[in-house]
Amino acid sequence: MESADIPYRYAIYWKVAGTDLCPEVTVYGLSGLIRLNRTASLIWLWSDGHHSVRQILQALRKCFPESPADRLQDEVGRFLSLAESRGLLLCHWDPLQPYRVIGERFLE
Amino acid sequence: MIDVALITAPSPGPLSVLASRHAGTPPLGVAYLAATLQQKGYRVSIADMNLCSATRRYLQRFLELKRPRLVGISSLTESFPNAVRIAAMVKEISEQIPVVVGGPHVTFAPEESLDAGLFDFVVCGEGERTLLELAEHLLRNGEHPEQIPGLYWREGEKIRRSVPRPPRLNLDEVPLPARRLLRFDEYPNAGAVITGRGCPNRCIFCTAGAMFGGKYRRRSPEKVVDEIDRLAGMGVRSLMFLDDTLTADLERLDRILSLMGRKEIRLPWVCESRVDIEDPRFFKKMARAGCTGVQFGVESGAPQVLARLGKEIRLDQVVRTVGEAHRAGIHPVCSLMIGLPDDTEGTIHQTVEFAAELQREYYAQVGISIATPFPGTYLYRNAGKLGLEIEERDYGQYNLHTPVMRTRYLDRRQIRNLHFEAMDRLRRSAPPGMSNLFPGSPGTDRAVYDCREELV
Repeated sequence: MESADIPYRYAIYWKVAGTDLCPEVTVYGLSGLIRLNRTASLIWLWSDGHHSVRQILQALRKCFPESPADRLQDEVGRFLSLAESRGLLLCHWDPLQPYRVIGERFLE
Repeated sequence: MIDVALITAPSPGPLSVLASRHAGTPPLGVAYLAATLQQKGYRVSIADMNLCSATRRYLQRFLELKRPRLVGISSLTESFPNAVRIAAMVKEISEQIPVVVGGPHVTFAPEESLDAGLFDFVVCGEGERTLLELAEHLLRNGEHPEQIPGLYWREGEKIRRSVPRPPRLNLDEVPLPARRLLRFDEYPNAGAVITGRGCPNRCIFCTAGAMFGGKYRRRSPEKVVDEIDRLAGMGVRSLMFLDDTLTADLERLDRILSLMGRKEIRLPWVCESRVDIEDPRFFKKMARAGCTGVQFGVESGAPQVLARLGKEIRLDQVVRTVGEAHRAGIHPVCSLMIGLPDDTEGTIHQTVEFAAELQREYYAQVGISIATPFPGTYLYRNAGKLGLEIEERDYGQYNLHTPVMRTRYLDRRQIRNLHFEAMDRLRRSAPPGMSNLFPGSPGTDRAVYDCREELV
């Protein structure tokens, strides 16, 4: 994943509880309900098609100043890949061709 | 080289791609434009970017190979940011190619659209005659834009406009859509037909009446059935009537169905109707003529909210009409929304319970969306008066599933969460066999719901 990539969530049914700094997101995935932990919830909320992976990382560093940067980077990469594999978001969103990245597997 | 390239801007969200993959119809509006231009000898091509196969690279090659002298882009509100991106691609190829944009979004936001700096003209309202006259001006030295009704354009720093163009009264004069220019086989609902335009209703969340006129203008049944006959000859396996309310004139619909019967056209079809249909018993006749599904705009399950939508319907009419359709053997599809100006948490619960009842009693397929203030709607124009605050200005988010405004009673987070709860409630109460309409595997959802799988 490139730091300039712009992730975009495309699961449309999700809710957010908790606070802005400590959100708890629950998403309807293709296999049912999925509850995200705090870090994943923050990444989810920033995966709005406006923030790049780099910007998401910067924002996360502010929320978790005590965490080593490489660990946060690893968590972001891991969550985005996992969420994409579950059909919840796109890691490399291109608004002119959103289909390209989804691929056939989520369309059937 | 061609004269005019017509491009539909794609929705930016993958969900819309999913929808077009499963229920997509050919872009008939654009195909009508193409037919009108072809009738006057223009060479026209269409690129429908809503097709899954249409990629950025495809568009690039389309523009390079076709080398159009004029480009027309059609866009909805959600796809407007992509219309801007496409215009930028065209201008990158050549600044000299005039770019025209049309569709419901720019019709109601013409000046803002020109402010994007990439469109040369905005076509407002029905575009056939306006685009044709503009092509005559740009490509054949025809009338000056000032003489062409229905246009906005920029001259230096100034935005100019001509007089509005009234809707065309005789729709039989409009040539049939140029379907041959489309990749017809790629549309799941290739048999889409428009038998009339305009809507007499004044729903506060809709622009149909303002876009196409406040009167339902009808094509003659003979012309409609001729078109359907041609479609049958093209191998379509079903029909979808795209009129806002096909059942507004039952006498005419009866004539269409009789003519279809006489021509032995036996295709299944679906349409939109209203719950205040004059005679719900007519559904039986529709079912015998091949109707398999009817969509109803139910909007809200809370009487006090429904009464203020300008829709002029009541819940008892919903129950009666949806029930009649179900008993006639027609599958009812009901669309409702939450986050309306008068919605509270309580009224949204009423809506969800009412939706669940329709699902349970009449096996209705129920969809709940989030009220969205599209430019041109009463909601948009009177947001302040209605206590609405439009907080999201990225039109790419105007997809009916993302809350973009707060109301007097609910903020965006609350609306999102209530939408989620609504979905969850309907999913769990769906009769067997309907759960495949919802995300998640029906066989495992209970376990997943109980376990609440964690991620990361």
